[in-house]
Amino acid sequence: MIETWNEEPSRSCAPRIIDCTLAQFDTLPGERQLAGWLSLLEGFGVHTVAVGSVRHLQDWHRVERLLQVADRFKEPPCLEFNLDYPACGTPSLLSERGIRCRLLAMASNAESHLRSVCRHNPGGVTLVLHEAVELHPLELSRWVQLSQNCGVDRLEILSKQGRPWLPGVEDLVRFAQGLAEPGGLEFVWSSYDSLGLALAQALQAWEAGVQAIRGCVGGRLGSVPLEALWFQLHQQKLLDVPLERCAELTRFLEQEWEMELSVHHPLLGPDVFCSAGVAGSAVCQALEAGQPQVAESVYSAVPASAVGRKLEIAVGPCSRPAHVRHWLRSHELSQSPEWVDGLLQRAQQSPEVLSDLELVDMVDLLSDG
Amino acid sequence: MQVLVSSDHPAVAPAESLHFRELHQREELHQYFLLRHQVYAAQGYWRADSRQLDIDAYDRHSRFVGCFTKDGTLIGGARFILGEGEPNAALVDELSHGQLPPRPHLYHSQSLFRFDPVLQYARNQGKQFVEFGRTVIHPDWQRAGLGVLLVHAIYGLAHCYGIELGLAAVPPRLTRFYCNLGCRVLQQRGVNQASGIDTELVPLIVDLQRLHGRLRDSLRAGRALMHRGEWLYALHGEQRLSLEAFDWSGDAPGHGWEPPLSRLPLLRSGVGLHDDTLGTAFGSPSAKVPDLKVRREVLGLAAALGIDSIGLGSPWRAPWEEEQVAELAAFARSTSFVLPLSCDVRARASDVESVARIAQSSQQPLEVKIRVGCSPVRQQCEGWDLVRVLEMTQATLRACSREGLAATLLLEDPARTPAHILEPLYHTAFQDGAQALCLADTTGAARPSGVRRLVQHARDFLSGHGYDARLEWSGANDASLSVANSLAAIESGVQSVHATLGGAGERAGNTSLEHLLVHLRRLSGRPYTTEALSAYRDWGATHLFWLDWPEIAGGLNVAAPSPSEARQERKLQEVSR
Repeated sequence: MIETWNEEPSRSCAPRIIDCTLAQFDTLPGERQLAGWLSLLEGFGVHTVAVGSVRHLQDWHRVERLLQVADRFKEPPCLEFNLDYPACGTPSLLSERGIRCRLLAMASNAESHLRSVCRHNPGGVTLVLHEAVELHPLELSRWVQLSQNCGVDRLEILSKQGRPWLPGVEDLVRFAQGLAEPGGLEFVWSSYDSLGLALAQALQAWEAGVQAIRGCVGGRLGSVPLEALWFQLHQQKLLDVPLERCAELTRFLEQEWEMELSVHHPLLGPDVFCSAGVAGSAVCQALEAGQPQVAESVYSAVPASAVGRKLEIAVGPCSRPAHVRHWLRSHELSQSPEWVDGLLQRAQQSPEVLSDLELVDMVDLLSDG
Repeated sequence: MQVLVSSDHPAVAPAESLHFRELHQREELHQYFLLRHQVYAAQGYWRADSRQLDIDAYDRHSRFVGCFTKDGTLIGGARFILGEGEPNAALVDELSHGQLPPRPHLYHSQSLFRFDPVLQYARNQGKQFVEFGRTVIHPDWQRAGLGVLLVHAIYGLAHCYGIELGLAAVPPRLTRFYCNLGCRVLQQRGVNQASGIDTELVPLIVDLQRLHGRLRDSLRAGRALMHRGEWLYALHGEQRLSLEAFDWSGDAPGHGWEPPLSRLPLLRSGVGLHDDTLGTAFGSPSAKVPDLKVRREVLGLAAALGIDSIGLGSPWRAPWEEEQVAELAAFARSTSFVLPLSCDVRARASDVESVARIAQSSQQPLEVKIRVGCSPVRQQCEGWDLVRVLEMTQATLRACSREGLAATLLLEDPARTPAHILEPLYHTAFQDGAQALCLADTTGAARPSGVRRLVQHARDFLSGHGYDARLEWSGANDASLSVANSLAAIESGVQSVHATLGGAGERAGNTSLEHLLVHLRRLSGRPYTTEALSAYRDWGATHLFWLDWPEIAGGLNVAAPSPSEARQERKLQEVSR
């Protein structure tokens, strides 16, 4: 582990992880999809998996089947469903199976309604303060009080606008926790990444005392990016997770839901371990010297192999001779100065990165001419 | 619990109420100056004299608000001193029998504190700036909660006149009170000497545009003062004023869960933003290098956004990039472009010489950012040791001096570089002529806590050795923390941060310029226009071919405020109308 200027975490235990990756899709997952996802998540320390929304009474049949899928696992995570009251009804399944429900806190959540949900739901109820950062302290204390009175066991502080800055996160969490009785409510932090702060806010909220963080693999607009959170917790030696399987998670999501990540999405995007510019020179140098670990860490805090990826070097307009030499070497071609110069010249004249086929064509031209 | 009611509340016809209004009339001002004398006499500044008035030279340049009971008795008042104008000079001169000298400073506190940077900031931002003070309450009404209302009223009056920033110097025991009312402490202390009494004072600053929560009452006060000339506070029977049941002792934060000014300091003239899009974006495998004419548009687009400096690229990297730098430098010269332009170089004298040739041929001043890889990992990769790194750095800095180019030393990966390597580099930087130091977290290894420590260490080192230089921050997004790290760096005292459009760059990219702009506007009022940002983003979407732009609140309409911010903006607009 390379030493950094970062401070040690103030807490010695990792937060509980609530994975809401599947909940971002429009419909409840199929049984095969859920089984595949749950098996991939094994070892990642996920405590709760948010599966999706129950919108109609008919959805409960699917819920029952999904619960049976989860039961097949040795240590099944808790499944969480968003309930769209009153359309989804309150079938006996709720009280029989103890499903965790997630409700948005709204003015229409009268005390009696919340009590009713909690009574029918031994599996636990998460009440979501979906614009917590907008709440006046008085209103926040009212919701905390109401949650405790009604038997809500988990209060989710959700920042939909992606605010506030870190001191505000700490203030908000500490204030909310100060209102709750010790050992009563569990606090969950969740925030949207619309202002680029989701991960930092989640880490700050955890330092301030929340017990759980809600996020999803691939982050996207909503939620804390779980893969980045796992990486940070792993770096701080708080959670031992098989990060190298992160790539499998992404492939599964692409395959099953055609979920695309941006090319530069940290840890998972297609381009994040591909060097086409000046950083690639140092990477190539280390690879050439037979120092793959140095190559992985010289220009990134996230080693490619740590997340199940491989370093790539691309040749294009910003490339240097080292990029070209690396390409030639990896294709077992001569690294003669004429070829290196010739390819580099052509690459730098191109407005974009060249494909292998284009480079091979150029080599052919150079060898002919 | 009292209900705070303004005179425009439709349901209330206050029978018993306090009246707050601006003091315009001779008799009212006379009462106020008498009250001031009375209150300060009670505090021991002078002997009480029922005929004496407390007036000073600043009153000629001030506006006043007073609080009256139903029978017209003045029980409290406050003033704010304007930088320009003498709204009440005639009356004040009359009451002082023309014996007041001209004011020695623009503001009273200037005799105690240096707050030139704040004034400069206000001037740069086009914000009106005042000093609040002389807040007095009749002894019979003290400790009854009137202080809070007076502050609401004086803020409200300031709103009426479009004032956005205010300063106040208060005794330390009142610091918490005023901080709960939206003020923030500046890092100074001063001692006021009056009538042989030394009073320690603490300077505070308040941003009236950023008032939240309870302080929205000051907006109501301002609106009432604007429309009706007075603001009414209802009393219930004989009951005295009391604060709301909620405890604002300081344990509970302000509404919105961000302190009104956050921690982004206003003491400096503002954080600089350096746009490195042209130098960094095309390193991404998915980006396409557009036509040179198209790249030229970046200069105007960035300038329209209020960017402070622009990176043109690295002429040593490729012929097209050398052409880009030369062309853009010539274009900047021909259009008298005012923003500083810079180029990135390696720690090699030949790279500096290529920049110097372009600067000379185009007659456009160019700055140089010397990139030095200093971390142990980088040294291992390159086969360097510290001596070698220092030699390369020194040689490059000397080349810059010879060529007459301003230089910034940009240290790569300082988050993973120990102090015993950084400190000699700091020394070398400033002994050999660098004007600025940039800490560039090129690997994304830092977390906000690490950024604070690193920047503080650099600041302490620089100030401890008497180096007066600009500190900059640049961050990569490998670990999804670049925006948070940049904000942490600003809080910790850097003067400039680097960013790129859409966070474009190699691997996971860099700090997103849009995110930073939104945060800086939100947290410290740094302005930009939606049109300018949309234009730049449109340029990027068309020419950079960057997929999946970072989503900003409200999508591409990056100025979309939150609902509460929108309500607040509408209120401010109403008040200013």
